[in-house]
Amino acid sequence: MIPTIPNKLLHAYEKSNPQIVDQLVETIRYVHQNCPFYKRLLTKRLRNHELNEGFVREFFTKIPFSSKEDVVRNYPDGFLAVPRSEVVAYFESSGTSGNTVGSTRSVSCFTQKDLERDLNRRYSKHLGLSRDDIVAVALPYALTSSAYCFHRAAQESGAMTIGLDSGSVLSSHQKHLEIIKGIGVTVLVCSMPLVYSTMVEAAKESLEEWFGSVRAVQLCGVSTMRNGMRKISEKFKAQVYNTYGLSEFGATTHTCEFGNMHVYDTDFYIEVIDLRTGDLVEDEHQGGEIVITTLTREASPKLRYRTGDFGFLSTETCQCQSSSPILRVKGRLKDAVKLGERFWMPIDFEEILMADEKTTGMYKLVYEPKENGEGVMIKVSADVQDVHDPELKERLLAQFHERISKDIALELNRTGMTHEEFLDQSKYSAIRSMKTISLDDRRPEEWLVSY
Amino acid sequence: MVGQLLNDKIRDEKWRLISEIVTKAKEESPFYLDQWRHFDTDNIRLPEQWDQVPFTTREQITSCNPFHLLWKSRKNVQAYYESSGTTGNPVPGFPDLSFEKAVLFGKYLDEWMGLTKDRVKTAVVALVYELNPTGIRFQMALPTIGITVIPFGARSTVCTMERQVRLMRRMDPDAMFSRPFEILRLADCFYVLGTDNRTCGLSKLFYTGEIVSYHKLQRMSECWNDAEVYGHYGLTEIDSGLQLCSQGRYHEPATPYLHVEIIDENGSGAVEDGQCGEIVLTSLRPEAIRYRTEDIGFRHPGKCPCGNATASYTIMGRKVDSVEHGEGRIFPIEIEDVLFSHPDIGNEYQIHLLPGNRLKIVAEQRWGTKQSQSMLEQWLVRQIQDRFGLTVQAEVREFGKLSDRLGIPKVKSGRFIDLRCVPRQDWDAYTETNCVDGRFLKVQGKLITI
Repeated sequence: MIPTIPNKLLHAYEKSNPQIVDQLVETIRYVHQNCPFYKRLLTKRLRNHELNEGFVREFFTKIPFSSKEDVVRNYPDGFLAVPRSEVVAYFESSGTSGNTVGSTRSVSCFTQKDLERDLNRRYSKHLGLSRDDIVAVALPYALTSSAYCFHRAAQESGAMTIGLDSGSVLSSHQKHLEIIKGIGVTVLVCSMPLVYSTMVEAAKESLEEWFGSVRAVQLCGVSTMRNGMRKISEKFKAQVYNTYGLSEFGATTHTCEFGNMHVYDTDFYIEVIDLRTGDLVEDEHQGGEIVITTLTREASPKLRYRTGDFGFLSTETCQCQSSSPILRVKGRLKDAVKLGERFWMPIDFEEILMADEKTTGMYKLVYEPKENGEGVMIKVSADVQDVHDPELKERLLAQFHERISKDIALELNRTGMTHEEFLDQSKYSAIRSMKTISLDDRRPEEWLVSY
Repeated sequence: MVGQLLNDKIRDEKWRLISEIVTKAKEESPFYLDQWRHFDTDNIRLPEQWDQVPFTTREQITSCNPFHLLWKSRKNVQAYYESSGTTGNPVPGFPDLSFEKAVLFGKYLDEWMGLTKDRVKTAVVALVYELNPTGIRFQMALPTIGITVIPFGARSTVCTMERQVRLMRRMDPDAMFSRPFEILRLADCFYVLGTDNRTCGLSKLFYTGEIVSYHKLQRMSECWNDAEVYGHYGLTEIDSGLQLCSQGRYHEPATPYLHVEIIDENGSGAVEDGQCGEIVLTSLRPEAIRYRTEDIGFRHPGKCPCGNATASYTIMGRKVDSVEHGEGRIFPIEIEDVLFSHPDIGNEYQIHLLPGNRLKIVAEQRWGTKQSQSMLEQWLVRQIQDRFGLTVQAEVREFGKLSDRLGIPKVKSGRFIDLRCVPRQDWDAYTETNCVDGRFLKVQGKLITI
């Protein structure tokens, strides 16, 4: 007899993917049989149970989590579920959140089928890539999967593709701009498009002239929410598509025509859990840590993998009529800062700045511990069109104070000055931190990873 | 000229393809329609008439609309790239990066390098991806023959030299696809990080992006456990190239994809075999016709001792990188060959071109050597004098004193650093080897203890 359904989320997933329970059964069986790490993790737990639909419905949420630390500790083959001869691609996380010099050991392998599935997931069908498009990919090609897969997926659709790369000392934002304008790029794939628009604005040139050909911006690699998407859309006069992509999984979501990120629920089962208890978060407005289970991955499958990212999962049917869950990602949990009784993410600050039409979207947060050791002071620096605008500073500061905390100071800069070094390609020292330029976390390290 | 064209076993097929390309050029390529407006392609009916076909120059290509370079019959126009522009304006190209091409390229590499035969399972691709098709071309091709690719990229802040060493140690790849400079630098990095690269199982090295001297070839192999070395000479703008053989020469491919000419540098006509001239390439696919590469080389007369029947060449380097001196002309690769012929001289060097057209060679001791710096300096000066009749200054520093191996290099090797018009106080900045040093990468990276 199938027990009652204790897992509302699973039930919600079944609306859009009726096979999901069977897929979860198969995933657990597959990782248990083929993956050394999960074999150790699950053998005892499965001993007195038959692995079937009932097991998944009743016990899935009791399966222990796995995490990046597990992947690192079991490097390189602990999570590998196929012989190495079947692996066609080896990727790692780029290491922007920690160890950027040595190998992160956060390995992710792909078989040919894994790669093909990921290529199909890279672009939303609403973006409508075709042979008429010229796609420029300004993401890192070294070690991470995103640039390569966006590149290949664009080629598969027949579009002409230009590899601009990111994080290479050869990559110059100025060169990228010249290519975008000179070749007439129609789709720009990157993590921070506002870098480009800010450079044009700083030179007091026309955005229309530089980005007139761009019809869509595809984001990947950093969290961007409503106001940020709107800002990008306004600057580029283009549709904006976002993908929650991780080197461990590839693309896990796609953006619908209403701007919502839907989970690819035939390939992933995504949960959001309470940070303290590890229980599923049932209130869609509460949010929690994003946890991902792969449903079709062959080489590096994951079961209840804690991503370290904070997000919200909604199972309401979207305006686009899709009932695939909608995911909103707020960023890395380690970047959260406690002000008063609440934790805030950098994107909470970003959204206030992005909502104001007089900001360029380039900003920097500094988390500075207070001298008395109690709490943190936040300094926000932001590029604006006119630093002498008498009301702008007041308006922005009032919003920070009302909505977040009084412990926030604000500095307004001329366009391009907040990240002056980053935008100046002759100063190579700025290149490497593309993904993390917006946060300078000066809080003492609370933990040390030592392997 | 005729001899050059006809001395090939596959001349008939080649001529058929060349004639076809020339005939179609004006119909299919807006670039040739414009450039050849005063040239009648009907006049080219015999191989003997080939030298009437106008040259295509880098300047013509860089000053036109890049899309005019596209031929109408080109299918799979899926990529746009530009050369890095290190010697002037970037040169655009539209390489075929389709999956079908990747399969063919994988097969070609496999046949040439014996990858599956020798059970190569994992390979690192440490090549450029930014505005260059090289990296992605290998990343697409190798999996088609069952090889797992680890994409290092080149000069990337994401995959630093230190990270590459750690990955090499843990993943133990069987093959590496890279540039000569990075192949040797990576070997040095193992030493800098206190580990031994000779315990790596790397058995095959493939290089592209630079030409190398014979002794540098040997050094690359020696640094990596006597690995087999495969090399390629090509250009971003032409989808074909020449293959390195065991004698250090570059051969035309056995399949008729490319026609090579060596012409007088003034463009007045072909030179005899064995004489240096400018390399002119014609792609037998719809790309560039009689393209003046601005590279200098010569064709070897007769059959190559390696046994390969196709014509073989020695490439000296870019015309702009050579220096005239009393006894003639010298290329960086010639000095490089001397440097790498001494086992106690290290893997990195610079050649400074000083006011008064004086040359200064700055090199390093190889790690672990007992030879003194002054002895090596004297040896270098004497060797250059004996071989080229040229008096140079030489400075040999301790290992690591010329460049921080863990950093990211500014440019590839094999060039003169021209200081003739640079104020003395700026020389240090001009001769800085890296654009990002290893110390910076660590500070920025907030290194976590491993």
